[in-house]
Amino acid sequence: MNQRHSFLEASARERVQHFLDKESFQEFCGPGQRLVSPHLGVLGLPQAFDDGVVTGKGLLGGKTVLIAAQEGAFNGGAVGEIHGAKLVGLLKTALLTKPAAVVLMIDSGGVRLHEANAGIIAISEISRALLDVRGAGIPILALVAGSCGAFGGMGIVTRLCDAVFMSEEGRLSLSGPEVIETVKGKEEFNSRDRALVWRITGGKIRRLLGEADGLFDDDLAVFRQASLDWVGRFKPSALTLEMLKSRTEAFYDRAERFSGARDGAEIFAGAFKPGTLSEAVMTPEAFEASIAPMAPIQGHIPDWRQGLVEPDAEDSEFFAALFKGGEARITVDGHFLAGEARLQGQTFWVLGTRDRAPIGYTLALRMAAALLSFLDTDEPPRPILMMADTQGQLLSRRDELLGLNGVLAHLALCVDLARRRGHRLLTVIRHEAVSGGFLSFGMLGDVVCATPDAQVRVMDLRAMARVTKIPLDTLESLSANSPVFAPGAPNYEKMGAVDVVWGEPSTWPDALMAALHAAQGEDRRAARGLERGGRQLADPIQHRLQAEALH
Amino acid sequence: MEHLTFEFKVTKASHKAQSGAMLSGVVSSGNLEVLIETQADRQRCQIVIDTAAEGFAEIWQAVLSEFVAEHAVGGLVLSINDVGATPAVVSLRLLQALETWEAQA
Repeated sequence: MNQRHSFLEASARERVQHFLDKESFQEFCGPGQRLVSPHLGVLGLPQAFDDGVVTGKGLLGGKTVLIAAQEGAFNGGAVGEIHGAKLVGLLKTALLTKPAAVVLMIDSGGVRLHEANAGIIAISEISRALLDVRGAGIPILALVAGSCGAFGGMGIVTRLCDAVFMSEEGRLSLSGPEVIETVKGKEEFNSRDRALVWRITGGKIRRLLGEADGLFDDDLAVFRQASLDWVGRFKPSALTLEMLKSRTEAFYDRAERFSGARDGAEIFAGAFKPGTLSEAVMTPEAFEASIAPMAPIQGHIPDWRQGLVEPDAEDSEFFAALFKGGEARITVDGHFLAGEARLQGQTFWVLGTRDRAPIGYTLALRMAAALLSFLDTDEPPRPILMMADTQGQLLSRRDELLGLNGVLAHLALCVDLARRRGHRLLTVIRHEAVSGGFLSFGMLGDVVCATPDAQVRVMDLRAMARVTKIPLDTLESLSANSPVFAPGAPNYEKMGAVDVVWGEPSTWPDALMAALHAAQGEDRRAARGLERGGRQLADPIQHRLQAEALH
Repeated sequence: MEHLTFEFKVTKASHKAQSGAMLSGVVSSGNLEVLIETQADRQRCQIVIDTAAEGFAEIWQAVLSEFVAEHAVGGLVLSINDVGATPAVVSLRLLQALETWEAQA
């Protein structure tokens, strides 16, 4: 008789062993190489020989797959420089070896805050590489059934995959409940109310909203079979404008349907066929069978242009300087900004956020709708200027419930489609660019420029202190020194994620045109981080893993 | 963090002589990971520890001496990343690691 192996209770290594065909796993950049994080070492914190992620290849029902499994028990499965580079290397390997599928066992709180800058850049590189894998028609599947779930940037990465499978115990969202509580208070999100946490982020509510594609028992054999079946029936379908437009409508419809909901219980009510049990006691199988068919989209799809007005004096002055000698027709609505501009004979679409926008579900969706409308013409693809000015994602229980990570991933897919259709993508950071909102938009640009006073960082230090359990004053002194940790555009420049920090406003028009000419579709951030000396491990480890895999 | 190295002269050589590395366990609070590798000298066992709990060298010495005396560990190098595992957990994890190592063909 086969012994049942719980996904939740197994280590990452055990998960891989029980998921793949017996003894077929071959690890890349394995623990014997001792690729431990020096950034944890510097802080006097424990290191792991695999930096918390298992990467390799094996057989699934006789077919070769590439697989990665994050170890949620080590630093919350969080992504640091090496951990991230292993994932990027694995995804780049997929482009070369064309496996039958890529399986990501995601169990992560997101960015490893102890090496925050390296971590967020790594997640952006994972996103780019993952979109390339998807673009190549290689099936990529996320399994979220571990103790940490999929949060932060990894919540976005999860939703970039072709499909997401979860267990009831799994959680998928963007900001962790602790982060929201620390910044917004217990009234907004009481992180100690575990039942509430699961009603907002757990497998059942995610499945019901369509954020997950399947709900399964906490059993590795069940996940294995479901994955095998999925790979067998997978039909590659390139991202198209039509597909993303209809997804935008579905996201709008979701917001309209559940506009008042702040608790999954309000969504569960009425979601099932008549006469079914309460969702709390349903097995995953019964749950799948009991979901009532969703009524067709009836909700009102707002026009993204509605409400746009002339910008204020500060914005007008900014765009006048940026497009000096040309012309800019920019309109704004609250934190949203869109328009067109012309400079030195070149026309641009302009899109983004302003005034340190907290990026929530509605704003991200509006950006996606606007971006898709820019692609929806017969004219040759214009460059798109992406304005990044954000304090991070909106910290809101309602937005987490609706699936803020899902809509941010959708925005990233729209950006990816723009790139694939030949639009060059230029990002200009103004004021500040922080975490989630930056990750799924501005950070995806072909060239990223920062204005002189721009701030770039990962998270509010108070929330960081709570998550890392490192005292606030230690974090404050650390952020004064460490380039992998310290906020600031020059650090991101050194690490390769900001191409250039601009000088005086009078130089901006030429700098923008120079950026346009430098723009090309390949992700060179790791190589640049190495050249500039700010990120010395990511590039060599990405290459090392590929070399080992191809050997 | 404290770094400790122990060298043991042992009588029972490991059942498995081939090279390669194997990891068992996870680095999390009250827990540890063990990396098993081989060395040429089949009459020695080296154990290298990085631990978050400082000042317990004597207890490590006692727990490890007992472990190497009872098991066939000659020719092995065990590297441990520890986050304050209790002696009972240390013994258990070492035993689990060794069993997995020996079960591998």
